[in-house]
Amino acid sequence: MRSAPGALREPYDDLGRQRAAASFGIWVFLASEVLFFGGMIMAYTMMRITHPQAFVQAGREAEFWFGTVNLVLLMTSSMTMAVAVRGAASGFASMATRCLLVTALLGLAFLVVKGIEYHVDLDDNLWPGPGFKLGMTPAQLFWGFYWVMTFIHAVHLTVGIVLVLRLVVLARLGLIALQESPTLAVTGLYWHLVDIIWICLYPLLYLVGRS
Amino acid sequence: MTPQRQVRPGARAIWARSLAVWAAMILLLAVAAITAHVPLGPLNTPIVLACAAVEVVLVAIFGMELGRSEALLRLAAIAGVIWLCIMFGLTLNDILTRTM
Repeated sequence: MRSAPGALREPYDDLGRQRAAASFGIWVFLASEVLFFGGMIMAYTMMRITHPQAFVQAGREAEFWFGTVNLVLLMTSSMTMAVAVRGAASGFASMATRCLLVTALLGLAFLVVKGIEYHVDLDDNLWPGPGFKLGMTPAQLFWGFYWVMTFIHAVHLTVGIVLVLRLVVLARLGLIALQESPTLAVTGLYWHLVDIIWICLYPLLYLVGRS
Repeated sequence: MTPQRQVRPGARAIWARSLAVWAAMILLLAVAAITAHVPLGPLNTPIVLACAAVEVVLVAIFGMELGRSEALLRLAAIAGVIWLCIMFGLTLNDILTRTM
């Protein structure tokens, strides 16, 4: 197989094999990420089963519209990432680069919305501990999960934005051939997982106790 | 192991497929968000979780292209899900069967 300049790395002598190894590697990593977030969601589930009323009361305090808008932003970014990956594979390099840029901007928009939401939450005294809005009740557990899970997700998203912007810069400088390099597909898989995590967190954190 | 070159879709086809999947996901989000505000008793949680599960499957199949991936990659993905099921299964087996 013809190798793009700079795409082939040691110890591979074939780009197809390198691509297969990269894909397998990222999937093993993603499986570990599923278990990482799965452990937190498991703990959340246990506490919600143990304290159902407190979780309903606490869930009503979550900012529904911020969470919903952010889910739309990430779903849209997943779409532009998918177009970038498939577009690059079909030889539409400039379309892929533009889609990557839009993907990163949508990710940044998510972080901005999340930052505003955090500000509103803190103003509303929703940080567990003394002075917590709902008193010293098990509702604090819900908000403990909220802060930990959304913050770790935001860290993952920040890493994703950096990776995507890196691809945009490398492509613009002509240092990477998006059509041949496995890097784009690997970055895309990571980005989709970050989207999947938010899809899972959304009903657990923003749709509790709404009815 | 070398992937075969497939017929390359045009830009219009790529956008059409991606927009269709995106529209389906937005529809599912709307269903979940709206039904969550309707008092359906014990059905509220299963409905919103089912919508999320379908959205995850859509991202996995169309975004991550698991449907067209090699068997090895599908195995790696399934391994994560299997271990997740074991963790949830064993833990819920305890929590849900306790007599307090």
